[in-house]
Amino acid sequence: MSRKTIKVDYLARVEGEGALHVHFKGDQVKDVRLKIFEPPRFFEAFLRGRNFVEVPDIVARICGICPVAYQMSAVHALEGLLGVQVKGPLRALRRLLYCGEWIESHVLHIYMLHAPDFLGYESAIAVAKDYPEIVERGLRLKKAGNAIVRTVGGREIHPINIRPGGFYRQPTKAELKALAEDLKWARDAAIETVRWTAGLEFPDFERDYEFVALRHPDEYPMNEGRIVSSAGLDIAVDEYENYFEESHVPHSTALHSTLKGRGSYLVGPLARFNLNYHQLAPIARELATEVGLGTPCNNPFKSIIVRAIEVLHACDEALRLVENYEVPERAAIELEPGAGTGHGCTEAPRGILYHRYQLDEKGLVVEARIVPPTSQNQGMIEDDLRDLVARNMALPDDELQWKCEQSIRNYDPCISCATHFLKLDVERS
Amino acid sequence: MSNAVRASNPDGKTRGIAIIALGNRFRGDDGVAIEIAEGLGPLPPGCTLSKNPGDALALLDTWEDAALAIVLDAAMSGAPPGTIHHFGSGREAIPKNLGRCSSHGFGLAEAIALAEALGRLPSRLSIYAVEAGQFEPGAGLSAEISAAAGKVVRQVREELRQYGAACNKAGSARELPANDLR
Repeated sequence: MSRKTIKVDYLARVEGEGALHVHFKGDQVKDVRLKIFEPPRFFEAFLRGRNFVEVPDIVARICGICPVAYQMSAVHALEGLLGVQVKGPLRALRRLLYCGEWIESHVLHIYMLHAPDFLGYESAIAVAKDYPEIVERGLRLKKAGNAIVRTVGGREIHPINIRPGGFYRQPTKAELKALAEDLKWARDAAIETVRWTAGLEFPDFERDYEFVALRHPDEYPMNEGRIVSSAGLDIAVDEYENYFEESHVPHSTALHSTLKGRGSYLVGPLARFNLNYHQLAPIARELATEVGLGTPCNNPFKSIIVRAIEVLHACDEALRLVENYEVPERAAIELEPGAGTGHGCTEAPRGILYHRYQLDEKGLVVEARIVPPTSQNQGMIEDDLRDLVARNMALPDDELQWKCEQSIRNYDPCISCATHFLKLDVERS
Repeated sequence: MSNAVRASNPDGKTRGIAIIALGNRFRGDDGVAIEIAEGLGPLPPGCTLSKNPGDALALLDTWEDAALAIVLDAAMSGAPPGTIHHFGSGREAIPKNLGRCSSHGFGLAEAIALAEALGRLPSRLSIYAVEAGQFEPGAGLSAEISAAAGKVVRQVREELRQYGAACNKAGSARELPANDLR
């Protein structure tokens, strides 16, 4: 009986450092390990003893791609703890900021990281040599997202304008109006992106997933909602830890998150789309119908189309928010420190991001807990790989390795966030 | 044109010099480019200085309208700490591990390759990278890196002076030979 190992030491086109090890014996997959070896970053410990006002600026440093998500989950948790709800124009401004992050993060992944897998290129640079107009479209579309984050957040990476209760400074009408023309172009480019991604070739690969996402009665979820799943879970954010648990596995410095008694689950664009399709902007639903993307979509490779649908939704929503912007009377609601525990969960580009903070009476952090989307998806990434390898055993090693890497990128894993990614190692024995 | 180091595109748009410093001053020797940038003093008219303009993709926009782009960075090539690497006088290959670590494995070398594929390199690109010795949080620059930073400041000033003189003589940077970094 043949034994074989396929091994990738450093996976490319993912954020952070990790590896994949696949070991099979004859026609049986013996072991699949997504090895995350990036050192743990101890952010939860850094936060202890810090004033609650500092939290959004510290957690923004967890990720250069999705800092807004960290800031949003933090401010919602802290505001819940201090008994304040941010409404009206300040809430709308936060939603606009989040649209900006979804656009820049999703477009980066679609064009620069995932598309080369489908097109058979090593990198986006190689794609650019043959299809410069496509890559240029991606770069310009990403810039539309960057511009929102810069205008509302103060700068593109690790924004500095976010505080519990609101912002440090509210943008002027003219500043937001200046975004409108680019957003109109971006919405058209997003439509083209949906059509382009839908024309790629997809492996015939579907699995039964438990999808988990936020759900909000009035909108496609970003900042608020209940945590729901395709298997009937429907809980408030503060019940999260009663239903989900994290455990340490020896091959990863990121904790694995599971649904208690049920196991792996999937968070991110595919989960949001399947659970909240009816809340998408009409134009996004129209395009999904045009390209034949229905719900439930159980093919993780099609997440690239779903990301494009979400970019379209975010561009449309951002344009609406910009056009209807009313300058908030005050940049923030003033908050008085107080003791207690608060929970926040928002939809980062890669899926739900849960935060819990305990403060003392002076408003200093006693304890912090952060569960990023990539640690929640780790188990499902391994389950997908196990199934994918079992179904594709006959493929030559190099083709199998390519498919495995592509499959990992279906989740746009952010290893830096999760350790808080990647080598591929396939062993045939 | 007096001492202004500018040239015109065929469309009449004024082009200048973009100096771009990449690095994190809170991570030991990774802050060397920021130290160099701040040591340059007053810059000639038409010269802009950007410190960490965004992710690596942002470089394409930052140098887009420049006749000359000077990029400052820390390097990790295995050379002795403080070694000054300069690329820009010929057709030298940029080592893949030149730049600092960056998200999704996309750094300076990849930004240059992407810009080249898209025809978005500046006419001239000059890169100074100082070999780093350590990236310890809060450690500041090592002594040999600090000394190298001072040398790079003098080299960049001299490059600006020579480039300005050549432009003034030619009347347009477009007439200067473009370099080609691959």
